[in-house]
Amino acid sequence: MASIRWVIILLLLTGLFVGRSEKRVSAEESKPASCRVAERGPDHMVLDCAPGYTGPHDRVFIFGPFQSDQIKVGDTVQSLPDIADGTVVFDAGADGTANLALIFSRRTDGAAVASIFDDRDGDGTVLIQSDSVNRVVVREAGPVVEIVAPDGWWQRQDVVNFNLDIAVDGAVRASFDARDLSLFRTDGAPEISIHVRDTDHDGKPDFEWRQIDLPVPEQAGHYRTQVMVNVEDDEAPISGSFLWPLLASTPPEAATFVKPSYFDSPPPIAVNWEKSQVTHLGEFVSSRSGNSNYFIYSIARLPEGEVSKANFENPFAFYDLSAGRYKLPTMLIRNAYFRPQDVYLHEVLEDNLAPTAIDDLYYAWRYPSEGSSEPAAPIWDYQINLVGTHEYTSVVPIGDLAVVTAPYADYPYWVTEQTWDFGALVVDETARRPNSEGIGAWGALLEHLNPESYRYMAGQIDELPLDRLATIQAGYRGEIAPVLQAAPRVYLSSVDRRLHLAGAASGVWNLDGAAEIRYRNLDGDSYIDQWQYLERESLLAQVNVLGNYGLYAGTNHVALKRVDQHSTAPLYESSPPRNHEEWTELRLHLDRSQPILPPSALDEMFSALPGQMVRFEGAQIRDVRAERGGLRFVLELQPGFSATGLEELDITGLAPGSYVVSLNDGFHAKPLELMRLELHASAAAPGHPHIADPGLLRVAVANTGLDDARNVTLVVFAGQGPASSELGRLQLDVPSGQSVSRSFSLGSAPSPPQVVRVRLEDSGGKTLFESTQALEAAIPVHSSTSGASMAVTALGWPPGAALILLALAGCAVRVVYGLRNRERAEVEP
Amino acid sequence: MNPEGSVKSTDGVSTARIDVALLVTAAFLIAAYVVARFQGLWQEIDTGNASRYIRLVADSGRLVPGAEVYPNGYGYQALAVFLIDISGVSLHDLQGFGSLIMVIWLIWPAWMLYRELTESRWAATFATAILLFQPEFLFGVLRGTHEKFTRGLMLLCLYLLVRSFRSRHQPARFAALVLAFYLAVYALIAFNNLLAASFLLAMLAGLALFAVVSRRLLRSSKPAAPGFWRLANVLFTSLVLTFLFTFYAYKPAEHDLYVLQSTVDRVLALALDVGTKAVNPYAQWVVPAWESLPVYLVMTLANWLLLVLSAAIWLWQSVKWLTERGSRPTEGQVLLWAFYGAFAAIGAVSIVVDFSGALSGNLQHRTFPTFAVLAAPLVASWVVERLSHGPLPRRRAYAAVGICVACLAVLSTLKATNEPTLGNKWLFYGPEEMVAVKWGDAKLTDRALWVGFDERLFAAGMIVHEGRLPLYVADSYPARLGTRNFIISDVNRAAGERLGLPLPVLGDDSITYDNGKVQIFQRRPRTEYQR
Repeated sequence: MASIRWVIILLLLTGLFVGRSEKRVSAEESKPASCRVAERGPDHMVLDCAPGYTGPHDRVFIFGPFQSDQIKVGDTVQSLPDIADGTVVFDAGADGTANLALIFSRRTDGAAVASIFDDRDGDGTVLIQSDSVNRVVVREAGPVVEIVAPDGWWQRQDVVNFNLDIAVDGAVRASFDARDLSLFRTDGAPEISIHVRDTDHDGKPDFEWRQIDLPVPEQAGHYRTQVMVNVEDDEAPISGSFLWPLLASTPPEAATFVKPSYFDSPPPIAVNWEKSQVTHLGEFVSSRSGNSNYFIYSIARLPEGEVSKANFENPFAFYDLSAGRYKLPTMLIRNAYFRPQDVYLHEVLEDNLAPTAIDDLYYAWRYPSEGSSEPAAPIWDYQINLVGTHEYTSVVPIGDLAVVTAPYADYPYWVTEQTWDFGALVVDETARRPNSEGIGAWGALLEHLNPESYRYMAGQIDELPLDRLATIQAGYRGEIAPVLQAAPRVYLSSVDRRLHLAGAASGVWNLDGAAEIRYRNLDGDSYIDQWQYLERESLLAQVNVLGNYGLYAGTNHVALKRVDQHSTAPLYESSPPRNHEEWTELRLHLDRSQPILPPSALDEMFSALPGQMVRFEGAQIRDVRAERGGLRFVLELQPGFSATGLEELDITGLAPGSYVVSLNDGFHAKPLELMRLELHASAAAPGHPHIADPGLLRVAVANTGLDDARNVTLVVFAGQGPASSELGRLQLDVPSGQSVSRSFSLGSAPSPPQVVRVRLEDSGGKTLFESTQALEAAIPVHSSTSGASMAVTALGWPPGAALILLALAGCAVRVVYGLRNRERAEVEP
Repeated sequence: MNPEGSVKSTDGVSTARIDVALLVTAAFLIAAYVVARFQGLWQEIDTGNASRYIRLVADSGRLVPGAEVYPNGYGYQALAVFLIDISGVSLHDLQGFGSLIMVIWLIWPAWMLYRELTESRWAATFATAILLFQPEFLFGVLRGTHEKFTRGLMLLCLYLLVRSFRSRHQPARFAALVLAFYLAVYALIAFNNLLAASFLLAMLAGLALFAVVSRRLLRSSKPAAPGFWRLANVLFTSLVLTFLFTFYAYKPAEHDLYVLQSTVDRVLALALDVGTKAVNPYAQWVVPAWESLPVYLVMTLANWLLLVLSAAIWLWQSVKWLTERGSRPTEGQVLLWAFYGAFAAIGAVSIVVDFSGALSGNLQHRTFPTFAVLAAPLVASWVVERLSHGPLPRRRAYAAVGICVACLAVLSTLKATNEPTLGNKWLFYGPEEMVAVKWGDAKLTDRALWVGFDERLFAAGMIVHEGRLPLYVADSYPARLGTRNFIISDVNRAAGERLGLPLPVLGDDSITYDNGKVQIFQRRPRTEYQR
């Protein structure tokens, strides 16, 4: 044992003479370390590593006692010798500076314990000394990491035991969102506890959970519990460790909390040897880098030993639908879930919490190209977004936790068999961006539309900001179904031969940033029936297929076609794939109906529809909409127009001019009349006898003409003449034959108006219509009674109170006046 | 004057009893006025919160029932639970009526203290009346909070300190008084540790000031030093007691203090008596709470008079005594002068801290009543002396002072009760409003309910519900996004008109509840997520 002191002195002296040479660690230098026993005593050993784990030359000091004498000077060592009680000191760069100390010990219950000390005082070294009985003592705050293996470090020869309980006490990235490391202190109170379990003892961790305890307010939104589960028990083996399986030789810049690879697992403990600090304690069980795993990042704490409701990423699950064909996942589901009355939304909801659960879910899947190698991360082809208010009810046991969540196996069915309020589909058409977490173009819908989306879900506002879904990144196609109210289904359109979301109302495909395809579902059924090709916002071509008719319009020609409804019905329709069979079947249909036309070739797409065509040259259309199972549009035939195939639709008697055309039970055209607007304003008096509300003015604009009124502006004034004040203005579209109503608050008028003036202007500001209307409905106005007297009236003024005040005043007078005679006698001369 | 401190009496104990009875009557009349004026329906948020804390202690049987706990002491909760248990009254009645009646107890310690400080029974009576008619003081002690006891205990502590100082040459009496002082101080700490800390610091400062000036001013042959050091030790020990209570005995107090970011903040909070949450509605509405600035100034005339008069008297005394003009002051006068100086200094620092915005911003409102405790005898003592020896014809002077005090008593009572005809911050509520609140509690669980322009009905609801938090989510002006239910009562309408604020109700809202005087309006749902 006496030699220990000399070894430590040697370590320190080396430091004096060699100095603090800069420890360089770079990717180029990270060749596998090779360590040879340079010195061997009964209770110590010095390993000389060249190349080392951080550079060309490192040194490791091991203080026993050793359980075996088999290792001799000159032997090459791959892993630490078995030491139940002892210390390992790492000297990166062999410059005499202790960079890390690993103390092995045993608890009284037999559990193996490894305590890791690094530099916590910022001097770049771990202070090591020997005590009076020659034991190695670390004079540094910590341990920063303490690992307890109740059953020992090994399952059997070379098989690591992954039943571990770990405490992290200090600024170490051991959590996904350990962003503010300043909150972590090495003070004897660990911030993070980690529990890893390998229930079948096969050397592959099955699941782990981490509890993060930071000194932050109760409602602060950080992950308090993180759970990672590998369902198939196929965690990738650890590679790249140095001497000890949990210790990484990874350069610090390459270290991450999340496992970076789908094919192997880095050792979880990463060290910055230059700073002599443990930087990361990464995942034992992969959160994302697997194809049969899931994780839960819960903002709400999930305490051990009780049923607890997780929120936020609950769960984020990855599936292999390829039956083992691909290493990377082929399907994922993520739900950003909030429980009813979830306090962690308090900030965005201004403390008016949502009464229901909120699901912000996406469901992505992919079909890797045949023959190509696996990319670093999956490239997802399709992603369905769903929003709803479903609450989890199943309890899933995970170690000591019992979490209310969706069971992994049931999750795809839980998603696809329920009705959802809002849906969207995002397709990666050409972007081909790898992402371990799905397609990022719109991400999760509520997160994308935050904060209005959560306020909408909580009932605080009346509308979702859907205009933010009117565009999408180049290379992606997106469709939205704001009123889905159905289980999610996808279908293959026979018109464009692409996969769409059933029930989508509109969509956009950003082809290259300048050109795009816009989709509409005009008749409100499940299928897209309008395709528009635009370049820099200019409409160049349009196809509509509705009922038994098809319509194509280019820049100066129009084509019509009678089509068989069966021939335009979807080629295939199903739920998003949930298992290998469904995944395979959908792939089969997608392969069969592979679109051969470029997306901008709408004319060819229209030509490919079966049926004879009627073609007008020198013609344009506008205001297309669905009507009685067919189409209605305005056809403008220019002078000198020509037409072919008119007999197909029995069209006769058309002359140049504008027509309103109905295509449902045949071709019917009427000469276009100008829009005919009627306007009616009425005061919607509150109707409450109690409320001093100024009331609403409801204005209805009806279009009884045949032409649609587009971009008309409705302006409302309170009063008449120069004294009138504008109450508000709104831009409206009033389609032919329809009426549009809007309300204006009369509260913004300086005084309750008796007369209102309503005006309609066209898009150029020209007055189309103006009306003055007396408000007959009685609008209660403010009470003429003053506030003070109202308060008194509301309260009453009991006469007794006044009398008591008088009595009090009398008391006060008596205090002063009644004692007058006594005073002179009392006061000292 | 008897240097040992006993006060000469001309007509015995019965005169003192009459004086005290008169003051008790005045206090009782103030309490009776609140009941008569508002039919007992008068509450504010601190009383509501106190009711909540009392309920938690009563239900759990523990002084620290859980995370939700009054952070500055357990005294009031414990006392209230004791009173409820022995008397059988409800928490609502205790907080609504009992707390008004309990104001009376303050008269005795105040009168005893002032008799000691002024060495005059008349001045003691007058000083007690001045204190009682201070609106800031009166508002605090009328509420159902710890304040009526902390103020009373402060008076008692000061009395015991002064008595013990005067008894410094009688060891047995001195020891008994010091023991009584410790008991009173511990009670004060248990009621509110922050108030106790600032009070003890002020007393220590006052004693130090007395020690500095007494030798020069008194030229007494009997040195004050031994007694002074003994009392300084007592006060220092009391401060240690406060420290132990805050950081060891009553953990919530420590946690509350640690909410403050810096050590300077924590020290200031301890020294100046400030909570970490500024919830005193009286303080939040200073001038805007009244019809106009002149009304505010008239209503608070007693404050200003006390402030200006006491400051002028203190400065005049300082100049006179330090320049050794006129007669030599008595030990009692110097003691009062020193304590006044110390308490005024604490108040001045509080105002500076307030203006700096460093802490919660209502320090002067917490320290003013403490300051008034010492300013009242200073003014009373001076007035008595003027009336006895001054140049004014005595009858007219008495009449003038009597009328003046009577007016101030009425004004202060109106101010302390936030008289709704003059003020904009209303603390009364109607029985129909409580019926509507109860309906909201039963039918709007977890849903936001707008209760008015301030927390008036929320506070009243907590008291009416015996300290139970409402099941609805209370909201007030401005209505938060997503609040869809609104209580509209006659009082809320009048309040809106008074404040010039619109009621948050739209023309097409539905009325979901109506009891004739109060309605609950609900926004019409426009999406499937609104209800």
